[in-house]
Amino acid sequence: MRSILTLIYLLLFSTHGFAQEPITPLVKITGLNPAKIALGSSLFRDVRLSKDNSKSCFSCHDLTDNGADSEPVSRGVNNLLGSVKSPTVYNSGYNFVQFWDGRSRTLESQVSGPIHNPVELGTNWIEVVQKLSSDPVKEKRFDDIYPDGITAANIADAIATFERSLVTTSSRFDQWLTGDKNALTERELEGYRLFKGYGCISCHQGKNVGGNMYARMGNIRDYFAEREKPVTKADLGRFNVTGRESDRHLFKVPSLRLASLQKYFFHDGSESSLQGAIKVMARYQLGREISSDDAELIEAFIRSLAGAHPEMVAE
Amino acid sequence: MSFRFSRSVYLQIFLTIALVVVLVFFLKLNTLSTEQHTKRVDILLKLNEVDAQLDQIALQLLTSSLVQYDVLVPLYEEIDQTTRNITDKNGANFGALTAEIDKAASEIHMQLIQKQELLEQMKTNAALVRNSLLYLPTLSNQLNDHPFRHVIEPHDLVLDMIGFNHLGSRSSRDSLLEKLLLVDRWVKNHPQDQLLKNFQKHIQFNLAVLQRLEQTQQIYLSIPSDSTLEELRTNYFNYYSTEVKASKRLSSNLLIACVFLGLFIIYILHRLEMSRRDVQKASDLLHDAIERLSEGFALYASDGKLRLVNSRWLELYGMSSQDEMPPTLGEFNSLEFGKVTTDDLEYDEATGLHQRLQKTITNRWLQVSDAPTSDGGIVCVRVDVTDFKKAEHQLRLLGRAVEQSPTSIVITDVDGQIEYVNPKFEQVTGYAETEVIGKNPRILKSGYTCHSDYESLWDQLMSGEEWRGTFYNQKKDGSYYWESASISPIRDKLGSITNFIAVKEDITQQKLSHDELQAAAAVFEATQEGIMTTDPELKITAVNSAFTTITGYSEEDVLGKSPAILSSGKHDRQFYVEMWKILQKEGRWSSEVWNKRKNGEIYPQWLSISVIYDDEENVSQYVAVITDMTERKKHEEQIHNQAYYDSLTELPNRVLLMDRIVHDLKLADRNNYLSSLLFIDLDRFKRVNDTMGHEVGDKLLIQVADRLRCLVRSTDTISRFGGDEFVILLSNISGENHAALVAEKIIKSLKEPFNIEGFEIFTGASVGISMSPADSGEALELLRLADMAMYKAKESGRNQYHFFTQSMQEKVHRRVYLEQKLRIAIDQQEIQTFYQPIVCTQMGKVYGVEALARWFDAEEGNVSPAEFIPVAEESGLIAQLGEMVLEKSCLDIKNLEFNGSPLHLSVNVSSRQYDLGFSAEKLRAILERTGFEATRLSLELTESILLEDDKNILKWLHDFTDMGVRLSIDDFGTGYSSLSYLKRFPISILKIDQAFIADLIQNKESSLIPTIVSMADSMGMDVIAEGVEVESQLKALSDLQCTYVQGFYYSKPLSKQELHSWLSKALCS
Repeated sequence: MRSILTLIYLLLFSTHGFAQEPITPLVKITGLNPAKIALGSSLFRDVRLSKDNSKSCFSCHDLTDNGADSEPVSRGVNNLLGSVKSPTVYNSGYNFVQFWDGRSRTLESQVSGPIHNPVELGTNWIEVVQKLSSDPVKEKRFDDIYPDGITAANIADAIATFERSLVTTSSRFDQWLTGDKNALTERELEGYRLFKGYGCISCHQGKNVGGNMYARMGNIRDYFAEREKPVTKADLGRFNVTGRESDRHLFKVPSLRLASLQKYFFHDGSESSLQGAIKVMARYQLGREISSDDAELIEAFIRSLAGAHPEMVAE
Repeated sequence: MSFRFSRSVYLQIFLTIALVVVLVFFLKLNTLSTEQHTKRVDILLKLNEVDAQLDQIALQLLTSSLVQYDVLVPLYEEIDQTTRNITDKNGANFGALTAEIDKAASEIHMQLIQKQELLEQMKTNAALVRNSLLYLPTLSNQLNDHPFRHVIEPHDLVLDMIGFNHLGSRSSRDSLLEKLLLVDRWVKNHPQDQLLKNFQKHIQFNLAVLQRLEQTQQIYLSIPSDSTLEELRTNYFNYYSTEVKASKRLSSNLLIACVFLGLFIIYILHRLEMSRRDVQKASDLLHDAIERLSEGFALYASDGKLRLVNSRWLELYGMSSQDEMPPTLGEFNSLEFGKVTTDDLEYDEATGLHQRLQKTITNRWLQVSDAPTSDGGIVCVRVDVTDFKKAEHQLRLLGRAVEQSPTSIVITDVDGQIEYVNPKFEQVTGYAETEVIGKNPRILKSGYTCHSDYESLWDQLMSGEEWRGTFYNQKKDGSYYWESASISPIRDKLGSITNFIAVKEDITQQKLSHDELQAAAAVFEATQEGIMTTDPELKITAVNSAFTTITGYSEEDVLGKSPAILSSGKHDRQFYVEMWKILQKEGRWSSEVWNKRKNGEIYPQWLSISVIYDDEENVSQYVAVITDMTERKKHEEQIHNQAYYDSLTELPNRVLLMDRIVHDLKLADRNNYLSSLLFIDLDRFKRVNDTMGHEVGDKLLIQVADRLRCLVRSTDTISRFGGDEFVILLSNISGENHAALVAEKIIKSLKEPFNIEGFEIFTGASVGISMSPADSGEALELLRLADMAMYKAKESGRNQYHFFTQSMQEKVHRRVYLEQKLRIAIDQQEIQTFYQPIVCTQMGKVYGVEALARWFDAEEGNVSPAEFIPVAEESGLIAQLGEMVLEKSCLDIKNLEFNGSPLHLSVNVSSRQYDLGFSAEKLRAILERTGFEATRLSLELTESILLEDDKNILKWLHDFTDMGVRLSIDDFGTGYSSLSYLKRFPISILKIDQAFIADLIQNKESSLIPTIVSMADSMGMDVIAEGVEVESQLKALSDLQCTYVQGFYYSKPLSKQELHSWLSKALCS
């Protein structure tokens, strides 16, 4: 009886598994204008994009680390505390939407968010464009690329182009995927098997191992009720965007590519260890407890997902 | 006119409207483009495609056949882009076409968004379903030993779940719900059974999600995107076909408008052509009319441009074609060469115009009338009035001729009655015109003319012939006069005689002077002075025989020619200009003139020219009287030459030279050019003169002069300045280089041997050069400076040239000054004698001393021998000085000895002393006076004396050696380091110049000393090294076997007392 069951399972869930892994290798996005990348890179680090010239994109998205903040929640201008944990900008070009609640479809439209957010950069486009226009060097660089010079759209375009270039390639897992069967250890492979078997793969799939769908935080057990912390507006997730009851606590599934480099996890930065995060996910998303052994193996697998990018060692 | 004007305005308005209509049609037509249509259809297709893709992905999601969702990321972007294309109201694609299209577009947009949202919900829920299905087997395994298994098998439940989930089978669902009721009941009965409770919870959760998923699916499927898309398509194609129809209509409208427009343009072109033909016809007519005018005609437009001109006009102005005609009036008027316009304007009353006369280059007189036209242009008409002008002139001339005729004119009728007499007649006869009109000319009869003469006169006249003859007539006052008359009949056109005209001339005066003239002609021929007369145009009219004698030209040779054939060319234009000026002013001119005879010989003559005027003060002829001055001139020249030229060389002498220099300096100052004086002194001329006689000397000078003549330009002056000195003035030269070049040429030329009476004579020249104005602008000074430079040249050796320099001048001053001082010093015995020891290194003893003159002056201090010895040589004081030093040193050294050997004495003898008479006899006298032995004495000579390749010198030297005196060459090596010539002279010691010694240590390899020493040794000469200062030099010299040494190493020159103590010291050491 049991064998029949297993057979059916294999048929149902692994049919495609034989032919095709649900995770695919990260590849560089081609066709990007190098001049725009260079300009975007400098703008990414430009503190003039903040109200008091104290913060830049880089302040909360440290490219030398994992492209996110090392704090649970970032601090913006005037040292104000943000509402969510900053997500990594690495591989964000492959996300289907931006922000935890997916309120931006593109990286370009995402740029406006932190600029205007009073607890992030706290300024506005008019101010930013004015400040940059008084810099002849910047003006020249814009004029060389864009016929209309410094505009909000062009700033966003340059930064977005730069961000698209931030793809971490050549992870060991990707090497395994592209044929190097020795790239992973047996434990990591076992971790991958468990990752699929537990059903993590249902949400964390694709190039980015996540980032291409929404999921409710606390599918099976009520995460927010058990969190021992009052529910904030940010906790409402996609509900804030659509106003639909069914979207309450719905968040974009984050990419696990650089999860092993992360200090804090989840939109609220409430978890500080990867294994802990794996356990929280199993409990609330799958409604089951996971043994520490299995969690360790899955952690080992997750560590093999992190690739590299020149910016990580640039400074 | 006004009708036509308004019609053309209508035409213009109509044309504009037609154009606007065509444009409007065209623009409207333009709004429909195929390209855009294609794009829109593409977008519609794209919408279909993305919608289908969404549906496909939804299906895959529901069947769990999609393992990852990356594929949705680009699809969403594509949907965004495509929907933007249809919803953007300002976009070029579907922007506000029709309300139906807009509505369908926004509907499909909304539907696609809705589909995406549903898809996202499906994704979220599908994950939950998947995961609970994954977990259920694990849970059912946990129930393996559970008592519930006795109720139902959990695995069956799970299988039902799977069947329901994936196969959606109704039987599975019923079975599942049935089993689930049992589970619920169990859980209700066993509230503590957490395991089954959990199992139940997951199954319930799965079912709940599954239900949600189903609902979502239902909603998704209910979205009528297909029909919306269909609607959009239909709407669009409706719109498109309407547009196409409209555009077709527009095209046909446009075509009609174009056809109308085209027809209209053809009509206008036709009308234009008609007008053009009319204009052409009118223009041709006008041109033809103008061409037919006998007057010149030109029409200028208001802007001055030429509009019309006829060929008569061109002909009048001598132009061959219209191309030559200037295009504007301004240019035509400035065309000077073509015409001369009379200044005075004549107002023609008949036409009311201002008229002028113009004379053209073709010598035609034109009447000019220029009138303005109504449009501001000018019409110009030229009438050829040349013939009128000529006739008028002729008439005026004739009238004037008769009136002013110098002969009397009388016109009578056929009967002889006087009709007209001219003023001359009145003047000659004393009768007024009124007195004689109507009378017969017989009133003038004197009575001396025969009656028969009158008869033959009348016969001849009546037969129509002219009569000529003379009358002896009586004037009104009774006096008689001779007149010659010519009377002829005047005929009318038909040939019949109407009048007679008598032309008569008073010849009384001519008759009287005839005799005088005959006498004058005799004088003219007999005189010794040549006489030539010319007419006012200077054509020779007569010459006498004396003229032929002097000039060689016969009368036939020169008659009718210009006196210029006599011109020698010796006189410039200015000369003749002056001559004519005086002739015109005073009527006569005389001067000495150089002319040319027929045989080409140029000769001086005294020429007097007189102007002969006629009664009206006009020049009638010129008379020239010529006296040959050749002989007198010869005498004058001789006298001049004697005063200014050197009779021997025929070169300018000192006087003329000075004159020329002064003249040249003046010219140079005015014209700002450079000049130079070359002072040339022949070398050894004195000796040629002395040894070969003055005649040879003179011939040498003549040849030198000849050679010099070849070396300079004709404008330069060569002068014999005196004796063997020549001075050349180079006038107007480019610079010092020029002077130097000439000097070099002179030196080179005079270095060549001269052949005189079979002897080859060598001389040479030293040249001094001074430059004007750099050195001086004053003649005498320039000469003095050149002289000074020449001395400097002589000093630096023969065949040299030297420019004057300022330092030379200073040196001369210094020399003159020193000479005076030195003379006094010698007289007062102020010159001291010092001695420098000469040591024999081989034997380690003092060999002798060299006597040296020392001069201490109270003002000048120690004067260096290098300075005062040349002064002494130049002034001749060296003779006195040399002998004084010789005598003094002989006395001083006579008794000195070193270690038993008496000291030798060396005394310097200047080559000048040879000239000044120092000789063996004089030396002998000194030796006798002082008691010094000749064998202890050596005389030091300079190399220069040996250069005088002269037997006398050789003898002079031998005279000394015959006495037992030795000769040494001082400063050997400084001048002419050839040892070979030494053989010819009785030299026994060489003194090597200290410069070589100083050089010995530094340039040991290249030193000449070894050569000198070995050569001297081979010729049996001793060598003394001068100027030895340090031990290393001494060592080097000993190595070279140089025995005798002199210099500061041992001792400086010492006074007699110092020498004494030095010797005793040396003896001890």
